[in-house]
Amino acid sequence: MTEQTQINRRYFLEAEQIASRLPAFFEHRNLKPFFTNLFLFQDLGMTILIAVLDTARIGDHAQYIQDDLLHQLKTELGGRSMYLSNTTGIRYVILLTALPKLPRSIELPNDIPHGMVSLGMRFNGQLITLTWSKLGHLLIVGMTGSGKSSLLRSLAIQATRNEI
Amino acid sequence: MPDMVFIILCFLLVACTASPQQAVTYTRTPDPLQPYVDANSSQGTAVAAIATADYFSNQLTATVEARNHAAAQQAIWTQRAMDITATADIASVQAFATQQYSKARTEELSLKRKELMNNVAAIVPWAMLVITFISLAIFFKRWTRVRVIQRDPRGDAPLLLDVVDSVAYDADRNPTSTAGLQREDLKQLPQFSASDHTQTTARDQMVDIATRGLPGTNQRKGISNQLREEKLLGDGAMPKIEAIDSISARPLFKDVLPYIVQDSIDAEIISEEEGS
Repeated sequence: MTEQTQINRRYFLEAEQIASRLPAFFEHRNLKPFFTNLFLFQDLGMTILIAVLDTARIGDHAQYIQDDLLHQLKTELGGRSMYLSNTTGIRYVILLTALPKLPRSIELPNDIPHGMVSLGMRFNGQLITLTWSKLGHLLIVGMTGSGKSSLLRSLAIQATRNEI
Repeated sequence: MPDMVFIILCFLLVACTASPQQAVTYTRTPDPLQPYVDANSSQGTAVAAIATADYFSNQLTATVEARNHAAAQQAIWTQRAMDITATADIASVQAFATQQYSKARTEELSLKRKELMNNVAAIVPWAMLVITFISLAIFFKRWTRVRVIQRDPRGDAPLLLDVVDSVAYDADRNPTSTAGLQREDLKQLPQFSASDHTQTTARDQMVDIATRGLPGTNQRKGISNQLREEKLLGDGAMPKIEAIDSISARPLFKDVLPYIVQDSIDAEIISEEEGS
């Protein structure tokens, strides 16, 4: 519950508003609004609400994962970014904040462990690192200005540091 | 003698061969006076002829003169008629010019009137629209600020919800007897304390408790049930929102994480393209 105190109350209010609109949205389309959980959390710089459907009670699952339904729900929620997670169960992942922005440039850290190579950084600021042996053959593809040369340069610098 | 006889015979013979002559007609001996009579008659005839000729000559002369006279008279009357016609034409032209001027003036005034009406017709609708809009704006502003609160049968005033500022107003909890927005004297009412407000709230709650069960309760329940049916109040179907940490949440949405990243990259590219 420590995370709960860290989430701004404004996001709780937004999540409650969204939750209050979900039943009417589904009933209007003759679908049963049976939800088991509503999770609110922050990760990767985003505040996310996940509405978990009770798949045991809703009956035909296909109607709940149609693209049209998702598009309509996205419109109903004011164009918020929304995704469907249905690998295990059916969950509607609703972003309460804007999509995370990619950093313009990432400074190559000096504290990369020996024998490791860094390829970039995740949204949450964590480095993407792997061992040189796992790197293997590398194919770098991208548009002009997307950073192919910078990546090669960083690999060269890291290889020099590791005396490879 | 024989000769004589011969000659006589010849005469007889000739007489025998000759055709019988017709009977002799006798002509009248001309009258000696007849020439004179004839001459006199011829003279009379001549005189008559001359007279006849004179008559016809005179007749011809008279005819010519009459024709000439008639032509002259006709010329005179034609000239007079032309003079009269010319005079009439001048008068009619003047009258026509006057009529045309009158018409032109009328048309000019009509055109000016139409121009004025055109301007009026062009401006009035917009003016009416602006006036209507301003009036509606004023009425709407007044309506949003000042409204008569309709109490329910229990005498309780419903909450007024200001969704813009997220403010709920309960008229029964107004601690002052008078309230206003514009009058200066009303704004000079004494400030009420937190204690006053608490006491007002307590009184309102006591009134609510005392009136509970009186007529109007069923109506409230009906409205509540109706709202429940419409799922506006919720019937407990929606679970409570639960805050979880990111580690617990990651399995719930890790399958959509690549899509989120992809959308972020797309949004970045689009913003760069729009920026360039």
